[in-house]
Amino acid sequence: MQDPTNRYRRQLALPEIGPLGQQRLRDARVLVIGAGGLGCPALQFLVGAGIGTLGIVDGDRVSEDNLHRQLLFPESTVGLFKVDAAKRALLDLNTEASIITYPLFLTRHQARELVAAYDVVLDCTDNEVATLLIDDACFACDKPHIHGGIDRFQGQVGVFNHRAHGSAGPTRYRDVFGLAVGNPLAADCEERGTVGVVPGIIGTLQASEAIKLILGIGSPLVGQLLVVDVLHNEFQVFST
Amino acid sequence: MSLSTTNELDRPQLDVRVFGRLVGIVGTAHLRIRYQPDTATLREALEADYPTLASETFAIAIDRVLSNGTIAVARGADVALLPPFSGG
Repeated sequence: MQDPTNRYRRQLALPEIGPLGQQRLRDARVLVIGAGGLGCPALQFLVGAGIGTLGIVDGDRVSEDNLHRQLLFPESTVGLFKVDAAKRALLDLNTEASIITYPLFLTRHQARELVAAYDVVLDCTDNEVATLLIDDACFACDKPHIHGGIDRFQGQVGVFNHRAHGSAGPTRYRDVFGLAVGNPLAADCEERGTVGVVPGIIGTLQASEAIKLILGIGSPLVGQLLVVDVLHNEFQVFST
Repeated sequence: MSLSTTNELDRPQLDVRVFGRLVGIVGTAHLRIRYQPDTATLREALEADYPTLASETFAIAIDRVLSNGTIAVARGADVALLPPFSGG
């Protein structure tokens, strides 16, 4: 049995967290959909922070061309299901975490059932169809949807479907781009390059937004898109 | 130089920042386009100059506020074209 007072000492020292906040993190259930470039850093920081229950959804297996950016996976895991390799690595980091794995690709049928069982959902997928499935499921289940996406040296992160205090209604991801329900985008199969630090930064920001929502602290990117350009060191927030 | 050319050069312009995959379509991350009074006419003007944009999903931000409806564009406004980023 670990000594949580010692393990999380540096978090407990923050007045925004303290023992009550640490307990909130421990009680939280976070679903991470996609265990790739975005999901790996998000999972590492969430399990490090002491999130009690983490669900991981991904039907893919680790491949050699994942290794440059998906640093949760050592070379020895090539060929394994990502969710299994991730669970092993995350339990090495924190044996007290409860890791629930779903080795599947999201479909409309299971999306709502999965999302309903968690408090916060991180969209770490790599295609627009999955993002819209997550957006719809989060809306139906009234769960916050923390979206992340990358394009070459740029990335974006935002918090959608979160009912902030005093706000009229939540902003959905679909709202930002004017996408009507029943009008899914085509799957973007074009393979675009990136360097690992870009999804590393965006996935880390997604974890940070999840921690803020769970603790009720700071100014999460509710209804906003933070766009990061690593090549030119530009961070810009766009609001809706 | 003809008078009409001078007038063309004197017409107000908008500076437009372009993000993500749209950079590959318009060929630059910083575009100058003739002034348009609102986002609907701006979108039409962009699609006239770059027909491929018509099939792209993107939001237009005016002074860092995203809108998928029609809103006014002030002269000198900070204009950005923002597509969804779907890589992971």
